[in-house]
Amino acid sequence: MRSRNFARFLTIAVLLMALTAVSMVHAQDKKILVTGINMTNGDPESLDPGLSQDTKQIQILDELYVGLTRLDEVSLEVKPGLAESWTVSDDGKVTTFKLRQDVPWVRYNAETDAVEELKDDAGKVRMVTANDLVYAWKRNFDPATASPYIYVLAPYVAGGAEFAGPDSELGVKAIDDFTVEVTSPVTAPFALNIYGMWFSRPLLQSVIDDAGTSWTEPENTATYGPFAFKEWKHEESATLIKNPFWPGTDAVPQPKLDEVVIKFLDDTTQLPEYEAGTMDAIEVPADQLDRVKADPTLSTEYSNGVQNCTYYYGFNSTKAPFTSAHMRLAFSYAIDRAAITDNILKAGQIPARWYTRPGNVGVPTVEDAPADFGVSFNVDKAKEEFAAGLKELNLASAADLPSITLAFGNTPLHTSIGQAIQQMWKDNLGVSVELAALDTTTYFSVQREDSNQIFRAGWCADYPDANNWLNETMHTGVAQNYGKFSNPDFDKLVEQAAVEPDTAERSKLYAQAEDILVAKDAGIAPIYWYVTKQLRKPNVEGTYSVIGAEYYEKWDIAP
Amino acid sequence: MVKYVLRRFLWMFLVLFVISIVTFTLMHAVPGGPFDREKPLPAANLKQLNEKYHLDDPILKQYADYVGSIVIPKVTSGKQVKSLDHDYLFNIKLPFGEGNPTFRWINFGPSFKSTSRTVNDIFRENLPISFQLGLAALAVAMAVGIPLGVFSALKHNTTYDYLGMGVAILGVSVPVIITAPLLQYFFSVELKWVPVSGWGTTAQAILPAVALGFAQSAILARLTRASLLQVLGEDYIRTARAKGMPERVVISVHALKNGMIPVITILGPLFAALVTGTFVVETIFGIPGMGRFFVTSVTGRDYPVIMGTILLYAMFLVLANLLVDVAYAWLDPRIRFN
Amino acid sequence: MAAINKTSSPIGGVTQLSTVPKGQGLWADAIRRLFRNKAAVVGLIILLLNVIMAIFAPIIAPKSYTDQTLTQNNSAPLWITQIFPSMIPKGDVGGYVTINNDYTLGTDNLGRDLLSRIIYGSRISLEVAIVGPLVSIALGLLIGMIAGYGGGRIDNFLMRIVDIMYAFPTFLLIILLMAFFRTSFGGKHEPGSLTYVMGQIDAAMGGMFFIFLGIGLTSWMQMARLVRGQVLSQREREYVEAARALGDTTPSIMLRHILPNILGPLIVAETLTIPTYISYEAFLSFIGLGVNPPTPSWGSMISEGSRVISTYPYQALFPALALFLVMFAFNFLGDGLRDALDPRMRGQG
Repeated sequence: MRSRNFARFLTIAVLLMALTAVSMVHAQDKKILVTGINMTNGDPESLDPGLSQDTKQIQILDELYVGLTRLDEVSLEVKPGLAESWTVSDDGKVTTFKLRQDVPWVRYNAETDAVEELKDDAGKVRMVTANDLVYAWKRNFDPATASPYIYVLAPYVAGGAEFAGPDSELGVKAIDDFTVEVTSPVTAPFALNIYGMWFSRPLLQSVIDDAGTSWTEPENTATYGPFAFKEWKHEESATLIKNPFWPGTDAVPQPKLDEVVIKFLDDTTQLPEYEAGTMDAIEVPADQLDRVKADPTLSTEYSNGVQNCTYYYGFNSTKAPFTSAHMRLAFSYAIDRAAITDNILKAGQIPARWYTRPGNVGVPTVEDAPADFGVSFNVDKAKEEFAAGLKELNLASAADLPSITLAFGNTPLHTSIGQAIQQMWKDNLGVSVELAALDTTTYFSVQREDSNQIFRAGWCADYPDANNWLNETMHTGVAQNYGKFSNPDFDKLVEQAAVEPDTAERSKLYAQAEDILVAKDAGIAPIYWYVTKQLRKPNVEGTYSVIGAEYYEKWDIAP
Repeated sequence: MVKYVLRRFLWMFLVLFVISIVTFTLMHAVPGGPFDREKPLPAANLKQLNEKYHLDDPILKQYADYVGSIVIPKVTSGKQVKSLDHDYLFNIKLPFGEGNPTFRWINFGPSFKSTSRTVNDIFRENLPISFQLGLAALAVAMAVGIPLGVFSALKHNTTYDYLGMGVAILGVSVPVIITAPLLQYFFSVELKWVPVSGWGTTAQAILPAVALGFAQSAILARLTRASLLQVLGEDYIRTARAKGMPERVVISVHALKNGMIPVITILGPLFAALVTGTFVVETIFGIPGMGRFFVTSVTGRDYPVIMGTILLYAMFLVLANLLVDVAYAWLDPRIRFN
Repeated sequence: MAAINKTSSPIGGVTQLSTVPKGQGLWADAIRRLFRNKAAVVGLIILLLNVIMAIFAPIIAPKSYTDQTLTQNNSAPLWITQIFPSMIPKGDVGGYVTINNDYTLGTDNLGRDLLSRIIYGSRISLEVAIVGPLVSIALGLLIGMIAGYGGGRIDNFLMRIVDIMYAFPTFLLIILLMAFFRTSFGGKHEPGSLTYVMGQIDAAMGGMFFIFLGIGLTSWMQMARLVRGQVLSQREREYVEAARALGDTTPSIMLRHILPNILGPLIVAETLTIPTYISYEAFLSFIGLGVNPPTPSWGSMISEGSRVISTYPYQALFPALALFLVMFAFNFLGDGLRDALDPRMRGQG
């Protein structure tokens, strides 16, 4: 009896396997890309453009929605997205966008297995209009929505900073169905970037009203970008499907892929998946690079690109001994950045000599900058500044220094770098620094409230302009400025540069600001500039993004 | 007996109440909040978020609101749009009244991190997966552990005994953090027998269940062996043997039944641990289960998810222990309920 | 053997125990028994070696456990690449491993001597293996025995506390303790205050103090349940009833009659939990709550190494091997103790 049951079980199992095999063969007709780029373990926190803020979310949102402007992921040019064209008033404060008139709202229908246009009550196809954009902006500015990122847009739309609710005035107006006028209180050359960011994109009000908070689920949602939302397996994956109704523009072409499966996997799991042949594109975990770069097959599929981020250590300039700029500079000079990038990181990360990653508007490139610009590893200068620092603090020797703590979030990378730098300070300055490895949330809250003497931090650009770095993260009193760095000259320079229309002139101002930030006043010690480190199967064709999010509509899988 | 079980059941609510207070206090005492992250929010935004999630209310009111939304049922009529604040586990349509009245009960609140999901969503979607994984792992643990323990006990102090226990110690001594990636590397990457990660097919369940179950099987094996050895030294076993009862009957009828008592003590907590303590395995094998929420909710200060998962776990455990106690009485008639 | 066998009859056991001078005979007997068990002796030797290693780490360790040679990170001696064929030495096709025979077991990702770190790591691991179980046994025995013997309301009350403690959020407690005290390094708290002192103790123990505390405070319940279960089944036995009939007081019955009888399963259970404590430490490292760097612990080494198990398997497997040996020792020793301590096992061995 038992063995017969077993036989039955086996038969069913074999049948099931055969079925799976058949369906897999069938699936191969479609071009499906399985990717883990920009993803980590666990669900994106939200896929509501108004509530999103991290790379994971932006990666998906960039495919579902297209901004008024679209940032070219390779050249960093601002290109037309949902807007065909725009005009800027003479004083630079009023921008009028002409929207495309051929973009419908769509949703994937699981029953018909097709992407369908949404219709209004009259049965007409519901197009993306200027009013949808105005609705989205007002909704995201509404305190009840509590959008975590809309503050980036606030300074560049009239009434943004003061917006208190649906009745408040906001400097965005629908002139007609397909014309939007945005009024900014200031002239800002980079505002065009911000008008295209994920929190500035149109939303369909009826969907949000009907489905409440679950409107972002594929069965309720309304999107219009090059891909539509097919499936969201929470904590596991999101599947995007080609949106045939996206008209296809120069900047955002019709996708060549039929589907993109985005898996939410830990980086240590992505590599085995890739090696087993079940994923097409991944980011390589740093600690596995040695093997990947040496492997005869994997090394040919491996590539590096720019990632618009900087890794740095900040000093709390209100706590001894870092009240002394000499002391801060001494600790910065004593970090052998190349030893870290060569031996620990290994993916071609660049030792950072200043804060803003080169490639952003208004920043010198490594080649153009004078050799002595910024800060780099220099033991002699470190000792010199250290002595000057001791003198400034009226201390006789290093032994009189108060105990110094370096704090970081307890992740393998931060822990490795922290220990390496701890030894460099010991070797080069003779100072023993305590390490405090804190759980990440505690770490962030401690830094926010009252940062440690030295703390680890990093910044990835929201938009590729020095303003996003220097003004928005290092100005006196801004949130990211954990170490309370404050220098009136610096503030004046970045404020001036923010409204200066001429790029060459802005670059000069930012260069002076950088000099203050990393050298003269040494508010931070920049450590390295990030790179991407991807593996892509040989049959995957596509662009290499330098902005973080990949634009999968430009990708393809060769047969 | 029935009275005893009933009383224990009522006790459970007191236990849950105490746990909820302790957890609530503790989690608010831990530094950092749900909105602390790499890119810090401006103070004004933080204030908006705290208002939205009522984190600016006095702590006692927050607790009362939380407990209230779970305990107090609600009857609503008309169309109800699902929102973060209104998502109930039980929604029963009432046959009387006007405008489609619905009886709604148990609302664990919104998740602060997964901003479009509620704690109930997480329970509905991710708990069943952990449950399946836990059952599969427990099956592996029992299938390997108990026979291994019995075998070792019967061959006490022979090479077989040492060998069996060696295997058990291997299982318990090597952390899952190592066995999981090793299994994954050999069976998925090198041999390509089973998928690397994911959940949904039997093939995907094998490695995680083995990785989890093997470690626990060692605990079961050791306990079975120790307990059986003790029972085998008992007088009634001696008597049974002396009466000329076949050894097979002595072992299976007399020894095993009593030898299982300590083993059963551990099954309840073991199962609870398997269902909830699977963070490592879920992370490595990319399984969308509940286990990770026990860790990520705490590290991310997702208050409602912390409360929800801990209350769930507590309920689970109290029930498991109740079952154990009942099984106790059944196995060992000398134990009285009073 | 036959002579001892006689004492295993219940009444005989009791009279025997009460006539023997307090404890001595029983324990001397147990120790003799223990040394007759080969596996237990091997276990004992391994543990002793481990203790010696931990105490004399500065003498034994070939190199400093903190000194980094970044250019020599992830390097391994030739023999390791021969054991793990997936580790291809530089120079061969697909080779990526730096060969360096100066380091007996190779180096970690910061170029520190792995062997020295394992030797120093034995300190932390031993501390966990001793402190955790001690707290757990002490609390568990006390509560379990009172509950089991007291029965009724006391039992019910204590078991509810156990239920509550079971569901107690250990992580929260550990995060709370660590966050509260670790941030005290920065001079936030005045020297001399309690938080400062606790922070200093924690720093001296490489950040393990609060992990011990957290684990200890939240892990005695299994022991308590086990003790209670054992006491429940023992207290109805003839020998206990006999002792009671002979006029023994309750504490005396518990300590002299029930305790020796339930000690065996308890020791086995506790030696089995020791690996749990140690892997708990590895798990905490895995989720970013582990020891404070650069203190080495086997758990954190295993957790870090597990990330690169397909590239540098030795970095996880050598600490895991050390861990395995110690666990092996604890288990066989625990087993030997059980056999030696259980009076009714005397005829079996």
